[in-house]
This record gives sequence, structure tokens and C-alpha cells, in this order.
Amino acid sequence: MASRISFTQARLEAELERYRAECQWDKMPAIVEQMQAARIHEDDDYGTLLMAEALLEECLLENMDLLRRSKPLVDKTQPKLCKAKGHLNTILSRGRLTPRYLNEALLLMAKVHYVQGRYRDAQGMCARVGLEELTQDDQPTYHLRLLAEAFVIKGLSLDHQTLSAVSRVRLSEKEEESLSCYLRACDAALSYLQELDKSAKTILLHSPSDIELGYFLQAALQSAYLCLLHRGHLAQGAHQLRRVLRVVESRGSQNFRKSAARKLAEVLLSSVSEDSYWPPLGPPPSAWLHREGAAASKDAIYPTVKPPQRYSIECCFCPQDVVEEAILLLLITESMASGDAVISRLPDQAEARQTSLQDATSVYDLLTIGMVRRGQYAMLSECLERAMKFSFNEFHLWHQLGLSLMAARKGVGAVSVFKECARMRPEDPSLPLLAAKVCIDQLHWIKEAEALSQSVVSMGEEAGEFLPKAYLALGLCCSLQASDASLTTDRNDFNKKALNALKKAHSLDPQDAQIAMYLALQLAIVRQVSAAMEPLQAALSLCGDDLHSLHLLTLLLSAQKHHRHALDTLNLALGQHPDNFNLLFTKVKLEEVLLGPAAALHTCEEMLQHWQNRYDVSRSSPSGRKPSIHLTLPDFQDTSTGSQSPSSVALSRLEAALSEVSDLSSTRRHGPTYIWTILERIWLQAGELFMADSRLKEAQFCIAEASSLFPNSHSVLLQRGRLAELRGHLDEAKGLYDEALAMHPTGERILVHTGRLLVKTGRVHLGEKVLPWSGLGEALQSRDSNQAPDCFLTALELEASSPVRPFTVIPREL
Amino acid sequence: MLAMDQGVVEEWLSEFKTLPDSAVSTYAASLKDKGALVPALYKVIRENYSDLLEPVCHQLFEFYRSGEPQLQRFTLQFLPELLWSLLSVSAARDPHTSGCIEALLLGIYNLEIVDKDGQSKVLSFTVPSLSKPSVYHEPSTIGSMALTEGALANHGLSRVVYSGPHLQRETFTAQNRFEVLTFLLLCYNAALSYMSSTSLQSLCQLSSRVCICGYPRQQMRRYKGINTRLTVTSEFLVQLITGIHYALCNGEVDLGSKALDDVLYRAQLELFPEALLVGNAIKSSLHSAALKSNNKEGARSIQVEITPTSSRISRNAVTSLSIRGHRWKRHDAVDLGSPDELMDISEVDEGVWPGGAGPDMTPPTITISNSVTTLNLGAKAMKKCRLGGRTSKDKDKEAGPLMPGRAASENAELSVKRLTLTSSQSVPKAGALTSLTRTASAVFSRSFEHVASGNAPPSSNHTASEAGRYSCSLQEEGLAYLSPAPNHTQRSPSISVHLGSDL
Repeated sequence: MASRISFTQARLEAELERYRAECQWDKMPAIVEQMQAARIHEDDDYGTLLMAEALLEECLLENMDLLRRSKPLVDKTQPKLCKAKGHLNTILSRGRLTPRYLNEALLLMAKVHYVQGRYRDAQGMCARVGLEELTQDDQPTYHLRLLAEAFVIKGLSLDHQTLSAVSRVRLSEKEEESLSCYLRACDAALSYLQELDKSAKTILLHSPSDIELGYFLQAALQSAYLCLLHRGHLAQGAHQLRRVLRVVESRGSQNFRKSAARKLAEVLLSSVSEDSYWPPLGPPPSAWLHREGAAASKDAIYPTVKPPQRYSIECCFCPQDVVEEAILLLLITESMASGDAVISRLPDQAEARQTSLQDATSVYDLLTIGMVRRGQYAMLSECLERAMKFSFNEFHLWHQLGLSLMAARKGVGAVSVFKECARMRPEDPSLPLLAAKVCIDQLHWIKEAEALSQSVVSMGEEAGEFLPKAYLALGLCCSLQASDASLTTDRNDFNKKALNALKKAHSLDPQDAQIAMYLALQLAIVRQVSAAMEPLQAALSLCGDDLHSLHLLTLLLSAQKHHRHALDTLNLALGQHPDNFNLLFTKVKLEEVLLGPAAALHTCEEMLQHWQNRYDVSRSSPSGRKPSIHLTLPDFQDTSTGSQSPSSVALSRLEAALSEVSDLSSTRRHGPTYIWTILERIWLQAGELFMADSRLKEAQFCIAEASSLFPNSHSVLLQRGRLAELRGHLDEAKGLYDEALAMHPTGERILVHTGRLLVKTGRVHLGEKVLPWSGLGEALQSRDSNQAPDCFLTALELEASSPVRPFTVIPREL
Repeated sequence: MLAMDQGVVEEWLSEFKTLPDSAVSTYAASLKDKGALVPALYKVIRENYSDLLEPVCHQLFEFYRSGEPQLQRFTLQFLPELLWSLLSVSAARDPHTSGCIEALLLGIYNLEIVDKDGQSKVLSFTVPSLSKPSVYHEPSTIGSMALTEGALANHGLSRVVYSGPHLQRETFTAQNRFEVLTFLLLCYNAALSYMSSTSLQSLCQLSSRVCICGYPRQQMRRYKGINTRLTVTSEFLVQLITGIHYALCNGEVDLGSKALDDVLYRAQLELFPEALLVGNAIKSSLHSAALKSNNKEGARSIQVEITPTSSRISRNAVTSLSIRGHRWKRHDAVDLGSPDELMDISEVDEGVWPGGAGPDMTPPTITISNSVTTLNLGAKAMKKCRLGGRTSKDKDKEAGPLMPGRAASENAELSVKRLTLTSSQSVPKAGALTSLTRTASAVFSRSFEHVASGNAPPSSNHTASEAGRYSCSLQEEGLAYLSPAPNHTQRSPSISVHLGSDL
């Protein structure tokens, strides 16, 4: 017989096998006809078997939903099923098939029983299938599919019968058996899909989207892990998920991989903590298995006959941490889910769009959970941006994008996204406020922030608990604009508006310490010093160790010239916030006033040390010992032991400090700019103190140090100018002041010094233009103007309420 | 406190002291059998004034210092309760400060921030990248979409530090309090899988209380403890949420979802983006999980998840992936005639834009206006477009004296002509235009209109000069969001769609 197989028969058989492998049921009737025409398989029921298979499979595809919900298919409503069953009954009763095809017929019958809810019969049929027949070498590809389906039908039938099992032992036996079926079904299904790929590569006929997996194949792929997870066996479920994901992807497995990867990520993120994590390539730790009542992982117990091909473990990335693994899986899933997202908005595709959107959203949600745990906001915002192309009007994803941009400090993007969110949900007061916060804290877009907070304010009662916050934001915006305003009338207007808004905020929510503090600050700024005390007290009673409140209290006390109290308060604040440079700068100023520049210099030295401990990461070398900056100055040494002249000691120590710091500043200056700005300011502060102490040489070193950091900063230029002035190099000083003014034309201190210098050099008229009240008074006096006393009086008034540092050193942030 | 509880605790206090080193691990394993012990210890911690508190804290610290993982976890399970005790006492300004709790927490912190050799511990993790092969994928099989993104920009795996190095702390200050507590929660979260349900419940309670005390919501929850507001930080809330998430997914559904809501409530009031991000994500993922399980119809057996294959979605549906193969259609108004009047602007494949782009690779701009349509797609695309005729027709229409009133009113609505995306195989027949409009390629065109109407007076007819404001840069990838250039800066007043890469 075999030798006489005709060319037509060989071709037809090959084609048949391919169709059966690829589940192209619509092609069946035609090919069966051809077969009959060619008089092949005349003497058995193979043709009928093929027709039965095609009918049954088509029926199953049509009833996917019922199958999924385990609803039995009824004869009455399913003509195709009826017909198929009829065919199969005929075939089986006639018994004319060879064992191979008989096996196939039995399996089809098992399927019929299963879908009609006769699980015991289905199981019985499966038992009659000779599985060895299906696992031999050189089997056609579709046999792997049949194998997978046979296992999963058996497993599912067993599972359905556990309901009726009475004895506990029997129950767990059945459970164990069904699980072993699922595990084998899964491996067989994966092998099948890989084989399908291989054959497709040689024929190259179908695009990937053509592969549509039937219910039983999908069940074969998923049942093992679903069953384990369903029974609460997290570790084994996760292990099974890892096993299937380690299998090399094939066209048909993409969708399955997508949901499996997401499932695994979900399990990892929701139920596996860092300490209990085990690496992807090993079996679950015995403690986990023990907890789940298993002795070993199931794949060790039930080895597969024909395992699918898995990814190599050589030179590739293997996650070491639970979040790493989850993020890797989610990135893989995201690359698929975002590609499959339906963009089209045709009404008839609304459902598909919704499904794909939910699909993608769940991936992005998990990605967010993982990335936030590791603080990866920038990367998260990039991922969420990718989601935007299918997220039109989808509030959740837009909101998340805005938040991620805000957290990643990408302020400009965050503001526009929040505005878009607010358009989608105009009733939500938190959205404009989030945008306002970004505007104030990150972008300094005060006008924009004002409009945003105003929009919430005008919501009134609707804004609920956000209303006080909105007034606070409004107040801060006005206050900041007042500080920026150059015209007095504008400034007064803004200050008034700020005060009103803050008062309103405070009356709406007297329990809010931040609001109370900012109200006090605003009162202080407009120099209602004693009025400021009341809300400040409220703020401090709500939050006694608040940094800004304590700082403000210090400044207010200094404005009332209670310098001693101010210093005590400051030390209290420093006890709670020891590393705060802003406080330390205030301390320096206070000490200068109270104790003189030498004492203040001591604090400067402390600050330098603080700075080094905190920011100089390069120094925290494995040796452990951190070398420190020595600004130990002669004043603090026992003078009796000093044989060197004080200044030379200071000089050498300063030089040492200088080289140590500039070494790192020039070669390894990285990190955010603000830490270098702090260092610059410390050096300049020290320089000023030295100048106040008339120690110009030391001052020069400090200023040189600062200028090595930011040679062109206006504050450096100003101090260099002052130094030149003190040394009598007036022309040089004038030049430096001019340069500083060019950098910062409205710098008050620069103007003062320029003005004084101008007066000093006899150019009184020019000086008058830039001087403040007291300086102006001096200038006018110097040319005997009768306006001088008025100026002095104004100066005195202001002086009487001015703090050691301006109140505005307290940051106004939402 | 009952005498019995006291007895249990006292026994526990004494037995560890006499334990030989060799017996520590068996002792650790036997702890979980002492059923009455853990509840009794909770009582001690809750009752701040108990004389037992100090020895208990001391003992818990000894457990932690032993290095035996099981003993360390025994101590860690009380962490939420200890945190609450510390925070509530400090909020209530209780003069009776819980010094021993502070000492215990600082002690654990100082032990945890260093590794075995006493070096500062730095927690880092590798950012996975799709451009590198992994045990789960091969870069070649990942669609170009994901790889053209940041994945390739910073290709290779980068390692980032997410916690540490931390400084040793001798005392709590306002400055370091939340830094220490956040780190302690991080340690607790790392051991979540080992925590008992009592501990998880305690964590949920801690989270709720920290977030709502002193706020109107406290009445809703009927919690009658302290009523002063507690300071929190965003990072602290993020750690709380991580724990709540675990609790939610592992049996503590009620307390967990309450706690999550309370933390989100507070995070929203404080405008904390980090906590809101993760909290929203968890809420949304639970919501979709609930939707799924609703479909389950009480099934006892496992439910196979039938993922719709792309072919089942609909072959015509435009997906992000298939969009590359699609044509861009443009049409002016709903009452336009036959599909012949719709013309291709261009067909651009694989996101490679023809010519024109400057050295900084700015994507080409399509500027659309009512009167003049300029397409800046480069010469090659221009040839394809042949826009000349269309444009002049447009002009005629506008300038013509017979412009119907209806068209004029629609003008405002359609002031920005839409870029309509249709599937290439379904060229709409006459009359199908309305649905075509609905197809409007979503994100781009509609968002335009919204932004347009938001920024410009909606009634105004857009003149050619205004037209320049609406520009859109389309690229297959990374189409991100609209960023209206802020009107208070001097930058060009255009609204442009920014692309992911240059942000």
C-alpha cells in the first residue's frame, strides 16, 4: 500500500495535516471532497472524522463565551454539534478506523462529552485514548495539539468531578491528578505552537494575527497556573508562570504570554515581598512549598515528554529582585499591549477599544506600582507617555501621567497634563491645585498658578476640603508677585491680596499649620510684626517643631530686636533641624549681631563641615574616615600657645581647606547645582565676616573659593568689589559692582554698595538714584539737603522692624 | 492588662536571657506556638504606661540584634503598632514620651542601615531593558515600538540606588523622623510575606489613623483617639501603601481598602504625587480585577481567560501598531461630498519622515488652518499630497459671497480641520462621513479642538495668522500630550504636541 501512495494523496495528506495543525476548519469540506474525488480513504471513515472535527471545532469557536463560563452546549441550539456527534457515533460504532484515527475520534468524542457537561464520560473517553500514540516521534504537528487538548480535557473533567467527590483523600488525589494533566497540557500546547512556527517558516503563509487559539488550547496553556493560583498556591503558581514564560515565544503564544506575564507580575507585586523572593531559574524555596503543602515543585514530579524550547540562560539578564522581575515582565507586556490598543473610535469598535484599553491600563497600573516602589518616576512617565496615543479622554491614564511627570519634576509637561485632566473633570478641585503646586514649587510660573488657584477658589463650597488650600495657593502667588514687583503700588496691591487670601484660608481651616504659618509670614513681610505673632503661635501649637514656623519666629524676634531670644529659638529649631543651611545662615547673622564676626565664623566652619558630610559623596570612601575641612581659626585657639602670627595660621589652614575643597569642586563637581550654590554662599558669608573683622587676607581666600565655584555669580562679584573697596581700590570696586549689576540689575545689596561707593567718590547725584532710605539720607546730608532727616526717619522706622535676614528667606511653597 | 497576659510576657522576658546561643534558632521556631504571647505584647505596646513596655522593647531589640531572621521578623511584626505609638504620643504632646519605643526603633534603624561588615548599606536595583536579552525575552521578537523608545536611548542595564546610604541616628528630630520611619517601613515591607494577619491589620489601622486624625474624615471613620493632625511625607505614605497593597491582596480586604482610601484622601489633600500615583494604580487594578471576577458567576472551578486575539478584535480596528500602515485622511467638513474629495495627505511608513527635518531632528509639522493648508512634510511627501487644487477650492469657498449660514456656524466648530484616521481598507462611501468624523483619530484631533477652544475665543473665525498656533507633530511613536505654551512666557504661542523623547 505505502509504496503505491500517489502524488495526489501525498499532497492531500500534507495539506490536511497542515489545515488540522493550523485549525483552518473552513477549508475542510473542500479538501474532503477532493479526497473523495481522488478515492483516498475510501475504505475507512476518515472523511467523516474530518467533517466531524471541522463541525465540532467551528461550533466551539462560536460558543467560546459559553465554554468559558462552563455552560453546557445543548443539542437543540447547536446543530453543528449535533451533526458532529452523529458522525462520531457512526464512526465509533462502525470501528473501521486504524488505531491512530480511532484515537482521534475518541478524543473528539471526549470533547463532545465535555462541552455538553458530561464530565465523567469525557474522562472515560480520555482514558481510552492511547496517549503514547500521540507522543511518538515524527508525529504530525496537529498531534501535539491533540495531546494538549486530551490532557486538558482530562484535567478539567477531573476538576469538575471534584465537586462530587466525598472523601477528602479522594478529593486531593483527583486534584493532584488534574494538576498533573494541566502541567502536561501546557507543555504540549507550547510545543505545538513552536512546531507550528517552524512549519510556518518553511511555508510562510500566514501572518501572526491569523492564529486563533480555540478554547481548549487556551485552557491547555493557562489551566496549570490558574489552577495553582486558584488553590492559593502562590509559589507554585508563580513557578509555573515562570516556566511558561521561559518558553521561547511563538506567533501563537503572544497573547497568552501577554496575560501570563501580567499575571506573574501581579503575583510578584501583590504577594511576594523582597525577603521572600527567589530567583526565576530556581525552584520555589522549600519554606514556601511547605506552606502550600507540597514537597517539591510540580514540574519536578511530572516531567514532560517533549518539553518546549526555552530561552537560553547564558549571558542574559536574570532578575535579582522582585521588582526587577515584575518590571521586566511588564515592559514585555507593555510592548505588546500598547501595540494592540485600538485607536479607532468607530462605534462598532467601541467594545474592542474598551477591552484593549482595560488591558493596557492594567499593565500600566502594575508598572506604576513597581516603579514607584523603586522611585523610577522619570522612566514611569516615559512609559505612561507611550500610553497616551490610545488614551484620548481616558482620565485615569492622563491623571497618572500628570502625577508621574510631577514626581519626575518634569514640571512643564505636568502642568499641561493636569490642565487637560481638569478639562475632563472640571468638578475635581485637586487637579488645578496639583498644577498650581508644580507652577509655584518647580516652575515659578506665578501668574499661571494664580489663575489655577483662582479657578478652585471660584468653585466655592464645591471645592470642599480643598478650598483652604486654594486660598493658600492664591495667597502665596500674590505674595510672591509682591516680592517680584518693582513698583511700590503693585507691591502693596499684591501684598494686600495675599494677606486677604491667607486670612480667608486660615479662617476656613484654622487647624492647618502651614496656612497659619504663611499667614504669619505674610504679616511679617508687610511688617505687622506683632500681628504676625498670633497666627504663628497657632501654627506652632499645631506643629511645634515645624521648620518654617520656628525660623519665622526667630526672624520676628530679631525684628523686635530680641536677639538673645531669637538665638535661643534658633538653637531650638536647629535641634530639630540640625542640617538646615537656611537656619544656619540666620544663625551666622544673629551671632554676628550679638557676638561679633569671630563667633559667627565658627558657625561658618560648622556649616562647611556639614556641607562636606552631607554632599561630598566622593569622600565617603571605603576607608570610612571622612577628612574634614579645617576652618579652625586662630580666634578659637588658645592664644597663649600661638607662636605663629594668627593670620598666618589662619592662612595656612584656609589654604589647606581651600585645596581640599577645590580639589573636589573642580574635578568632581557633580550633583545638583543647589548644593554648590550652598557652598558658594557659605564661603561668601565667611568672606563677609572676615571683612567685617577687617581680616582682608582671609576674606580674599574665602571669596576666591566661592569664585572658583561660580566665577560669574553676582554675589561673588559683589564681595570681590567690597573687598577691593576696603582695600581702597575704588576703581576696581566700581568695575566689579558694575559687573555684578549687569548680572543682577535689581540686586538691592549691589545697588546699596554701588550707591555708597558713588557717594564716597563724590558722585552724590548718581548715588542718590540707587540708594535706600538711610543711604539716601547720608547722601543728601553730605550735600546738606533738608530732605535728609525724612530719609533717616523712614530708614529708622524700617530698621526698627527689620529682621537679621529678610523674611522672604523662608521659602513660599505649596 | 490581665494578670495572665502579664504572666505570659514575663515568662517570655525571662526565658530568652537564659537561652544558650546554640538553642536560638529552635527557640525562634517555637515562638509561633506561643499563642497568647503576641496578643499580650500588642497590649503592652498599646498601653503606653505599662511597666512592661521598657523591658519588652529591650527584648524586642535583643531579638533583632540576634541576627536570627525568625527573631527579627518577630520584632518586625510589631513595627506598625510601635510606629503608631510613637507618632500618636508625639502628636498628643504627651509629656510621658515613649523613650523606649524611640530607642527600639532607632536601634533597628541603625542595625539595618549597615551591612554585615558595618558599611553603609545601599539598596539598588537594575532597571530592566528590553534591548538586552533576558530569561523571558529576546530583543529581536519585541516590536520595534518599544525599542525605539527610551529603551534604546539608555540602552543597557542601569543600576539605580533607591535607598541609602543612611546616616546613623542617635535621636529623633523633626528633620530625620520620617526619614527613619520610612526606612523602617521599607524593612517591614521587605518582610511582608512573613507577617501575620494581625500585623497587617495593625499596619492598615496605622495608615488610616496617621492620615485622617484631625481631618473631617476622622468623624466618618468614628475613630476616637487623638484628634491632632500628624505630619506625613509622600515617601512615608508610599511605603504605607506598599504594605496596604499586600494586605489587600492577602486577606485583609476590608481594612485594607479603608486604609487605601484614607491614605489617598490625605495624599490628595497634601498634593503628594508619588503617593497618589501608586495609590491610584492599586485602586484601579483592584477595580479591574473586581470587574473580572464579576464575570465569573460564582464559578468554583478555574476560569480560563480568553484573550481576544488581534484577529478577533476586528481586522479593521486601528491599533497603535497598525496605525503605521494606515493612511492619513483629511476632510474639511461633514457636508463634504464624495470620498473622492478626501485625499491622502501622505502615507508614511515606519515613522521615517522624509527630509526637511533640521539637524535637531524636529519632527515635521502639519499646520492646518481654514484658509491655507500647508504641509511641511518635505518634498517627497508633497508630491504625493498635491494639495494645490484643494487649497484654492477652500479659499473660494471661504471668500465666496454665497457662503451658507450653516457652514459659517459650523466653521467655528470645525475651525480646526480634523486629521481623520481611517482604516485603509474601508474607504467611506458617501454618507458615511459622520461616522468617519467619529473615527477622528482620537487623541490628536480632538484634543486639539479642546485646547483650541480653551485658548482662543471659541466663536472667532480662525484667521490665517492664528492658524499657526495649531500645529501638530505626528510621529508613530511617543505622541504624548498637548502642551500649550504658557501664555505668560515669551515663547512662541503655538500649541504643539510634544514628543516623548525631548521631554
